[in-house]
Amino acid sequence: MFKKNVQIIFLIFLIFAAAIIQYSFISALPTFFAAFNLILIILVFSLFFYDFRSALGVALIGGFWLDFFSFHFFGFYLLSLFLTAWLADHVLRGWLTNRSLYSFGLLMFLAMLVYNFLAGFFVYFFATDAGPFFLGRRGFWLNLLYQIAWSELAVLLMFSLAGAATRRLKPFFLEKK
Amino acid sequence: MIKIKKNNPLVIFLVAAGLLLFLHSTSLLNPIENLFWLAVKPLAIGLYGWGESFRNFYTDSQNQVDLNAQVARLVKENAALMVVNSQYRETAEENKKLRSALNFNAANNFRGVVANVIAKEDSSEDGRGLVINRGTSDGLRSGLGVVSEEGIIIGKIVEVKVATAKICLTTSPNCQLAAALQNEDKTQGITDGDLGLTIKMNYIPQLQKIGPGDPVITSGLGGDIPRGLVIGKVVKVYNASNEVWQEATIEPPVNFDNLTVVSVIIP
Repeated sequence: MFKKNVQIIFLIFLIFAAAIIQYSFISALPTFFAAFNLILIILVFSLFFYDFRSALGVALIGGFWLDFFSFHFFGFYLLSLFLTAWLADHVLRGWLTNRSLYSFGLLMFLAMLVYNFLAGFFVYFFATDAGPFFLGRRGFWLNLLYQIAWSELAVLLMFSLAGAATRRLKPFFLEKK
Repeated sequence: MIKIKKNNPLVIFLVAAGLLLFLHSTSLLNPIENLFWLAVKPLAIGLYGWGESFRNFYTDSQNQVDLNAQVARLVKENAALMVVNSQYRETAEENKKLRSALNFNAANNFRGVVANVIAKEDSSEDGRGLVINRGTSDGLRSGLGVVSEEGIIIGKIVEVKVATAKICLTTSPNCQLAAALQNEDKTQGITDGDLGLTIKMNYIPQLQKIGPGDPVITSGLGGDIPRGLVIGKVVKVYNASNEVWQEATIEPPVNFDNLTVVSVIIP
């Protein structure tokens, strides 16, 4: 029980660190670098390598911290991250049957797509200064493209690191003797 | 009948998220949030500073080719400004004497609240707002003007929380300011951001004489922003003869990407 509580507290601080890095540091970078979506990458990583429960934990803690910092309505990130995690879990269980690099890449791609569409939708319908519809904005598509590029790069890196750490992700063959 | 397991992660998430939303919307979380902001602000300032340093380094390395042309242009501009500056000094001296003769109080009786930029946040189409580490607890409210270290107006406050405030930049679409041109006709109008890059001034009557180089300042009309804060200078004028209005493109004199310290003007 004690160990579990320590783990939860550690997770809260870890995701807090990621959220503040996302909010203050990454947002100050040039446009291409600012598209790096750290929290969403952590969420998909935990869904793919751990389980839905971990992904929901990231969505809850990460969403709360980002909502706490942000000027969007409270619940914006909680809701966007939750719906993304939920849909990504359905895709992972229903469509992607193995744990390969390709499935991880596809899952990340779909999660980025879903998250950006949801966020664009929420901003358009709930923000006071939303401007024109998000699908007609060049900035939206450019940002989505950058986010996908960064996340696929992160997929390659994380899969290589995870592959080096565990044998679970390595391909194996059944040989007939 | 649907059975809901007690340790279902979905149920735990929904209960926890619902509780957080409830506590936040009823302001029960406010004391903890405010206390937390106090602890987080220095960290946010530091992280934003690092991000800015990286941005500057990256932008400098990208722009080195243009640097020589820029230096040549600035040397020319500097010489011209020296002449203008000397004329202004003369005028200021004369103004000072006249004011003391008339026992006139200084008009600029507003105070500035110095703030650090802690984040950038998307505000509208192609516009990125800034978030500063001051809020309602420092006396800030929506509509107040924000100036750079040099005293150039960079935007206005659009949203305020207890410990933070969001600024829309003058180059962001929908960030409007009441402005006046320092030309012969003292033309007045409204400025609006253009694609997050420049500022445009619309609805200028065709008969008004405006030209490139005309300084644009805040007019002080309809709001909390005092008159006389520099917005920028006119770089291009669009005046088609078949149009009722003229339009001007204004270039701000500061680079909005490098802002780390700003002041909020409280009249």
